[in-house]
Amino acid sequence: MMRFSTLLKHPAGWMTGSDADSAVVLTSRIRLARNISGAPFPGWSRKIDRIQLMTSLREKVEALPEMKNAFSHELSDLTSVQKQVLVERHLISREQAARGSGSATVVNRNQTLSIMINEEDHLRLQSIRSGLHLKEAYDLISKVDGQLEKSVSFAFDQELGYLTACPTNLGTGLRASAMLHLPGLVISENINEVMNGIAKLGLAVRGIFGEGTESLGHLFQISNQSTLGESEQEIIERLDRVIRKVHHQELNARQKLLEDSPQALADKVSRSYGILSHAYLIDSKEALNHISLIRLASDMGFFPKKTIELCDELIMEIEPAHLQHSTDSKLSASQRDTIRAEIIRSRLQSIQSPDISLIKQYL
Amino acid sequence: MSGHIIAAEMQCDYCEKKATVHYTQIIDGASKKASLCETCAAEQGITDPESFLLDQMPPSSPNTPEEGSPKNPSAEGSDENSGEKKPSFLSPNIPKVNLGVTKSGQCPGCGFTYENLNKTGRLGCSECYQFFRKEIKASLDNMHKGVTHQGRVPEGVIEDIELREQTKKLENALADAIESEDFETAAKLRDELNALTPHPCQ
Repeated sequence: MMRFSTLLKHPAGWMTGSDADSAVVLTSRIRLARNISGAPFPGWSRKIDRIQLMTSLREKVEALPEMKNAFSHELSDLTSVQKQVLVERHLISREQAARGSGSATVVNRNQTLSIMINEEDHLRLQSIRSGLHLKEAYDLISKVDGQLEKSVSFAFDQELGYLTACPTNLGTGLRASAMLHLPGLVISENINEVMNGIAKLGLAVRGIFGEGTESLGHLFQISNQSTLGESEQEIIERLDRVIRKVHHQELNARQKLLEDSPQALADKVSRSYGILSHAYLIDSKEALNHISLIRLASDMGFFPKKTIELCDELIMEIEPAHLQHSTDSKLSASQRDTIRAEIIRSRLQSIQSPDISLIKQYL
Repeated sequence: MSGHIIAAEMQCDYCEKKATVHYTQIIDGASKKASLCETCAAEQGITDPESFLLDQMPPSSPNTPEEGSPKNPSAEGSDENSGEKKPSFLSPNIPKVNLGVTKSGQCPGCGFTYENLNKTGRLGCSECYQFFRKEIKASLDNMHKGVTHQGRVPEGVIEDIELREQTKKLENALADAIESEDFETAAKLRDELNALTPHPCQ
């Protein structure tokens, strides 16, 4: 069985952007909610029953071919920092992190498939992929769903579909989402218009970090809200179409920035590089926004392409639990800012100053 | 000790007080008995026999929780509340057929109540969807694109549905055959039915 330290040492498969197309759409995620027919949902079951069900489900999940040598732990066996690290890696939900005994998580070796047992529902199957690959993520989850279906009886109703603890997940139990990096739309101040358009289509959009539309790191998540009345394919195709459109709009916004204000863009990118490679104290808000600009600039050609991957790893490494996990003592806010700056400086050592020659043609 | 014989200790069907009013009514040829205390008898309009239907009596004493129903911390206090919110089973607004699925009911599978649903927005178990079906379906319109599942169906479920439908069809035909005393057809249908439903002993 995979240990926590092993899981932490290796970046998740979806983080190492093997997909060249993850510059705008970082990840695609599919989640399925499933419940065992007849058994009370985790939020309403007695502890003893919850533990019993978890034990039996965990055996079945660990026996899946995809879960060979998996990371499998009961939540009560993990420290709060470890739980938080898993949340930051999108392997478990915040809701599950708050749970103790009777709840378990099983993650496959390359961290592309995670199965939460006794979260809000008895089973939450989740698959993450780098880039825009919702269909592929669904194919994996659908396969696993089919395998589990042979050994357990899922709660299903002909009219309402898969029955879930919360009626908002009824039907397919499917939540498809993608994480997008949209600095072009934010800088050009088109983001609100785009977000309103997405919301009008019945899809949910929110910032990954920070509250409301003021998104840190210019990272956004778009997902379906409705799970009933459409097939899995329809939900995924609709979301895919919208994301492609937003992707296109982001690329247009970037091109427009380059054409309309090349000096301002070069200035922003160079300042971000300067601050990140020379800071000794940096909070997460400042760090995220500068890393976002380095990430944008890498895709536009100011830095080598592989810098995108470095940025994605940095975004995760500077999150609170990842920082805390790197040391044994409990860190104060200013200690975190010091360590954060240290990590960023050392990671940027291999990156040369931005090559601003590409703006010449627009001057 | 004296007075511990028969009716002296009978409890009111609606509360924990001693029942002093005993009432019998004949509905559709079947006699039903009720025992009430004076207060509940007045409350339930026992003086107006037209309005009092024993059919609508609570199935069992509401104060005794069903054995095996889970004790959930969030369910605490609901017993106390049920006392004051106890609906009158004589209310003309509650049709007879609604008994058991009224908002005061408890899911027979897990003991989840409508108050729990309102409070948490979650359900107790998959059976709750049968029990609170009407209430849940009323809320789906604003929540989802549609109200009927269009997606994947677990393996075996389609076969189950088909089997159930075919069984029902044969059962109806069998009943018709018996009705019309066509015993030859009935025997054939019975054999077909037996072949369809696997016998537990086999």
